[in-house]
Amino acid sequence: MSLWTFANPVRFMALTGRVLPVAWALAALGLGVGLAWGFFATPDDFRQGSTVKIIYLHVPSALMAINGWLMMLVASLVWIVRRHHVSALAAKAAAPVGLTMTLVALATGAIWGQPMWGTWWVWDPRLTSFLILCFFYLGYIALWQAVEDPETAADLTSLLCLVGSVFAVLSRYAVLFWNQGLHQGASLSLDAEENVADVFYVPLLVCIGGFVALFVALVLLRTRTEIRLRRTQALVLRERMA
Amino acid sequence: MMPDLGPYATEVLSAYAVTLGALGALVGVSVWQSRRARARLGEVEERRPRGQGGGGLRRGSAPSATGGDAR
Repeated sequence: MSLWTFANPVRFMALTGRVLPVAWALAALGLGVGLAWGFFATPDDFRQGSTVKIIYLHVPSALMAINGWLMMLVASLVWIVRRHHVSALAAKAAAPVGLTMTLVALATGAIWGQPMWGTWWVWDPRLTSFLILCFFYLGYIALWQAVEDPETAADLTSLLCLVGSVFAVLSRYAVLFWNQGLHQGASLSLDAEENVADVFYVPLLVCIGGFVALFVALVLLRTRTEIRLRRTQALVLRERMA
Repeated sequence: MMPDLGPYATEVLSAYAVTLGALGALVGVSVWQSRRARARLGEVEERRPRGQGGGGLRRGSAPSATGGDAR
């Protein structure tokens, strides 16, 4: 069975109807266990004190903010190349989820930064690129709302998504491109020497798993909603023409 | 039991409150929109004459037009 089979809305609805409860269950389990573990059962950091507990919110949300946009990029490319409506609707459905993740990352970063850096905000490369990513999310959502014809909206938002991907990548690698600013380097890396201590690392991985599952569940649910809305519009239009 | 958060209790608790509030609101709105869309589609499908199939999103690869719906 080809991947493109699921570009068919009927098959997509059938598959996601089965996947969705599993994604919700994994999200509840990952977030419940990970956040409780991180909040109640991990020690304070010797320098940052109890603020280290914000890592279980900040890092996963920032990760999903960037990866959410990259998911939208893939879906947009599929729309541009293959013209599959489900992919365009999936990208549209993911935008509010990615925006929420971005806002959570910005808010928790500011709350964490104030006691550690002595300021809520600084025009640091990573923070600034993240703020621009947030504006791209807002612009993307606004563009979908502003254009009446769904195909034209999908075309224009796909192009916007391509442009915004530069900032999504920049947000991820800003700390490597510019060795300046207050934001620390990557908390997680394939190079084990750069990772946080194991006592924080394991619950952090569980939280990341929970955030990924929540993102998947929300995007699937919202894509299903978009498909239903599109079908409703088509049927109403058919009624009026009859 | 509540851990001792020391002098940063306000920061830590507010970070958790903001995050859980935002994610909870997103989940709530998404579920509400999903239910509303499902109900609206149900209404429209109900008043459709029997035997009329096909949906606005179906493509050439779709199974029979009178087959499953998007509910």
